[in-house]
Amino acid sequence: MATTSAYNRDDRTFPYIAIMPVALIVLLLGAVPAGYTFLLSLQRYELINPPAVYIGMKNFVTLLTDDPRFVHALVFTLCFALVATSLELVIGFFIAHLLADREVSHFFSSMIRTLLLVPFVVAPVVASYTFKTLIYDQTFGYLNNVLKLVGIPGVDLFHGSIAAPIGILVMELILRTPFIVIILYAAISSIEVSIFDASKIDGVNWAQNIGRVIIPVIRPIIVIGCILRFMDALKMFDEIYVVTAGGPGYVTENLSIFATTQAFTYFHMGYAAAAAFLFLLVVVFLVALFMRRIRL
Amino acid sequence: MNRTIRRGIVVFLAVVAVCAMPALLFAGGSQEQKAGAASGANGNWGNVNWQQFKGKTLNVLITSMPVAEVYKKQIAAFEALTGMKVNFELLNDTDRRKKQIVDFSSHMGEYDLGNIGFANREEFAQPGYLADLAAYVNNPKLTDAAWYNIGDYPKDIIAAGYSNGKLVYIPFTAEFFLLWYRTDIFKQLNLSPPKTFDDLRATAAKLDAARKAGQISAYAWVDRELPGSSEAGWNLFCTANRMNVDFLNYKAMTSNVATPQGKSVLTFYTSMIKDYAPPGTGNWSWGEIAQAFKSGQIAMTVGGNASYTYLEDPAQSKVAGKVGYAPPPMTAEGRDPLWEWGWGLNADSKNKDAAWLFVEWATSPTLMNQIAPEYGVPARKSVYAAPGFIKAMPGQQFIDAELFMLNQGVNPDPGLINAKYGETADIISKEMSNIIAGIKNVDQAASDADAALSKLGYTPAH
Repeated sequence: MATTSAYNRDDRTFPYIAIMPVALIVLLLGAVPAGYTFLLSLQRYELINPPAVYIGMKNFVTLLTDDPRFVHALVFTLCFALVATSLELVIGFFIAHLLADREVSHFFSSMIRTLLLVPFVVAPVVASYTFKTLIYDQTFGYLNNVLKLVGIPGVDLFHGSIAAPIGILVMELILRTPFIVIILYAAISSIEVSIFDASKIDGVNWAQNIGRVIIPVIRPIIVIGCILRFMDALKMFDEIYVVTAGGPGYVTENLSIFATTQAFTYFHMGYAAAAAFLFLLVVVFLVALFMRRIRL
Repeated sequence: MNRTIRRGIVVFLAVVAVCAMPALLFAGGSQEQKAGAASGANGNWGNVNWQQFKGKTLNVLITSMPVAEVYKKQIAAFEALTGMKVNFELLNDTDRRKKQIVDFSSHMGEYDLGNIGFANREEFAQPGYLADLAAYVNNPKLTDAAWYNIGDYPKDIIAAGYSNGKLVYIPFTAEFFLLWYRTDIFKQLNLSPPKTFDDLRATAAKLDAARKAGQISAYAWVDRELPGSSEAGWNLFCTANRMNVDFLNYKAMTSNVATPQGKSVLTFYTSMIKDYAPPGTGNWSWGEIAQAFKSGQIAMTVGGNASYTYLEDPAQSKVAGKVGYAPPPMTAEGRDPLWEWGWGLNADSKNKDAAWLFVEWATSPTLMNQIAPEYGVPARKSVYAAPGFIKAMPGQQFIDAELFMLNQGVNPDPGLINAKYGETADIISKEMSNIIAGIKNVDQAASDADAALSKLGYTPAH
């Protein structure tokens, strides 16, 4: 028995044709470089000592079993991304919730939202230099001068192994939380007022309103924001490169800094490619896991 | 009749105007060309046919730095002199180095030539990415040897351009560390510039005591601390060389980091910072040190000789006219590793002869005499006696310090010049950073550095 369809053959093939240009671009910009990176990762390829030699999986084995620096960078990258994304989500949600509150004046809300857009128009390198010199620095920065005025000792990013990660985290929160605020504000604002009115009649309190009304309704937006920010935090480069260069010691060295250093300071292109490929696998695995758990 | 004459005059004038217009335009063009050529031909350019590659295009890559801006202003003159076109691309040093090594190693020959830093020389020379320039210097069709006068280079300065007997670049700057100190503070406290490392510590202690007593506000000392081979790694290795210590013997593949000598360098470098530098300077590089010095917050440091331009600019420096310059403290056998920039030819360039003309022009006595007053650190010694250069410098003390370093203060073949410098210096500078941050003591840091270096094949020397 022949299957029937409401669409003719041309109608069914059109979406594939329409999506082809984008698919090709994704293939050229994503799959081809990833494939080339994998090929590189199978070689001992030293820019200053050519030619490249095929060594199979040796780079991967060394990275995972005999390079504590890589393991540290991997752990730091994952921990930092998890902590930064979680905090950005929590802080961003509450700011968005406040701004979307009907009790808050529209003028005040729009003014704050406009100010929150500032980090988007500042280049990450510029923002990083601003934090490094004008905010954190004890000689030139105003943060420490303000702290001194109120009798609090200054912040020294390069003292001990805790201050630098916290300094980078605070910077990341200030620069990136507005992204979460903006998209969650849009999501909360789009919830029908009648839903809030109905929940009020049902007697829900503030916490129940958030947990049982707002979050379930805007969950897809939260997940998208979370994934985008998580991936961004995983591949963070400019901020660390400018403010700490991975230091003190190796304390703030993440995988992006590690791979870049291996490639362009040490010239181990094959080894750097292996690190980058492992990083890619970790990111894909985590994002897939995340999306599966959230069931977007 | 009158009408006919008038019409005739108008027609005549119109014909003259139409005929004259192209001539006037061409005359204007040739006047511009003459002006350009005059600029290019200003001075003695030797007995070289500069137009022999007319019409060719050269791609030049250079680090964005003050001397690059000086060269950039002269490119039109070179184009007028040679009839060639030059794409002169400036990039920050990190990106310049990456782009250059990727291009040179790919053998594509996209860039015909570029600047090569002394410390990174072997990254390009060892794999054979740079052409041997001796063949071009000795080619009478390309070089007027008497006019070019390569003997004008101090022996240590030109020696640094050689790698395994090949002349891989011709220097255009000669840079090294000088001690910068505040003459007003030194006069107030009756101090003299230190010559030895013991003097340096003693002077820093006196300056620090004066700051704590409220006599001065400036901190005694600071040095580069941001980890990285091109950051604090360079200053640390140079300090070691001035103490006559090599952290690594690249030929024997041994590490001296955890030897008493290696540890004494680490101890001196980090303790000077911990004891006498402003608080929170662990991520300081050149930019912050220069800014702090210019704003009067530092009494003494070591910095590059090329930096005098911004220290002595009253528009941006509070200490202009109050800075003294002296050779940096060294032990009797110690020397400062020279730093210089040179022009190197891509061995895979398709325009090597034409590109050599650019190198010859850029490093010629004629051009260097013209432009040296703008950047102050020329590689040719004759320039240091030129009246225009002397007038443009901050003072005779500065020139004397430079001449001392040029003639006897620099080592043109320090052990640190190796293709593996970047990797090893990065590792050691990271451990230095751990010491400054208080994460490790000197013994632990030196031991951990040795452990990391041993994985690269270096045997601890102790």
